[in-house]
Amino acid sequence: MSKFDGGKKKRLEPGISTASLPDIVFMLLFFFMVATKSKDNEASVIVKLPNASETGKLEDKTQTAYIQLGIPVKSLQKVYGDKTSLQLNDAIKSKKDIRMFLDEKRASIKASYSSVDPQIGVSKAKKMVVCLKVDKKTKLGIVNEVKEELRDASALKINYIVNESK
Amino acid sequence: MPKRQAPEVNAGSMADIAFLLLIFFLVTSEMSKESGMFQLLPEKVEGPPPEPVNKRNVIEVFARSKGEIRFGSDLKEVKMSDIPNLLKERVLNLSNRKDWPENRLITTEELQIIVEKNRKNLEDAPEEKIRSEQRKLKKSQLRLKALEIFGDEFKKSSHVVNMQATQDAEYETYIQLKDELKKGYQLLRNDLAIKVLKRDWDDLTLQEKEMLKMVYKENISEAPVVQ
Repeated sequence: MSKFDGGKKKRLEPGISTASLPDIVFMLLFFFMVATKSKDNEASVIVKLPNASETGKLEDKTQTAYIQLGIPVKSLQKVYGDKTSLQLNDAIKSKKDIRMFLDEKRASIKASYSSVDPQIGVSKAKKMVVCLKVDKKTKLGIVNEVKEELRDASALKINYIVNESK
Repeated sequence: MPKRQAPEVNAGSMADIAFLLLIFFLVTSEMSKESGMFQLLPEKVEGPPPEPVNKRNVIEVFARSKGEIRFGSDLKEVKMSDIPNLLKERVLNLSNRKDWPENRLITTEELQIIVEKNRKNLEDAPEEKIRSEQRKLKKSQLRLKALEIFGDEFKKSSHVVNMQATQDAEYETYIQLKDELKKGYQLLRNDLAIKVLKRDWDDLTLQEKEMLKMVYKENISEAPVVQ
């Protein structure tokens, strides 16, 4: 009887338990920590990537070296001018530094595997891919100078980073 | 004596803390969505320059400043979007023109000889080379299979795309040109997939894609930049 006299008695709405909220949020947090990579280097040059559709994905991010080509950001233009410049790691460098930069990169790849198996480190360092982030307005002459430098340093695997368009 | 209950820790603010962390990570990180175009640079070797290729086999592509594109032996100015079809035409060379790249039929026997040779190489290979020899053998076997499936469509094309650019050409033009050339190859592969396998490129298995890439192999060489 009392089952069917609904509405007469005030029923208390059960509050939603928020006890599991931290768990959910932590799960989200871990997902983002795994799925993303932190912005590790600050931009010294402005790079607007060109568009292309026939692209591939980068498989392994651990064995990549980034080289950026573009016009320095506003705050650095006083020092470096507004000509196309080269960014390695966080700073604007000259073409001649590419070699040292690549050697350092190779050494750090080797070092990260040294505790596991030095053999893997050596082969990974050999497979290193150099990613070129080049502003689309850059003249090809400069890009080719960089490519020559890469050939000299026998870093032959390169990847032109582009915006994917369909 | 009454039992004293341990005071419970208030976990209500745990969510706030976690949210704060979450937002921090959202701001300081980026999704890995970088895509790129892969290229293997030619090794620097001392010695005589490589043998010149027969002129009819060279497909000239030339990029100049302000997005100007020239194509073919007469370096005619063309639109960027025409490149895939132009490339397809030349590589197929259906009308058998004498000034376009030549195609040669492949026989099963010659591929079998290569497979046998690779098998022998694998048996004699030293420890550190086993994997690369295995890959070679697999590739030659796949080529044999491709010939079975595609038959006379699988021709040996001797074409070379010679990509040239001026010093003052924009990087964007260069990338677009590369992209259009790749699209041209993709067009060839897709057409053959529809013709023989009766399916679109996207519906093919990995192995079928691999085989089609063998049938129409990209062959783009980059000449040193001209002034």
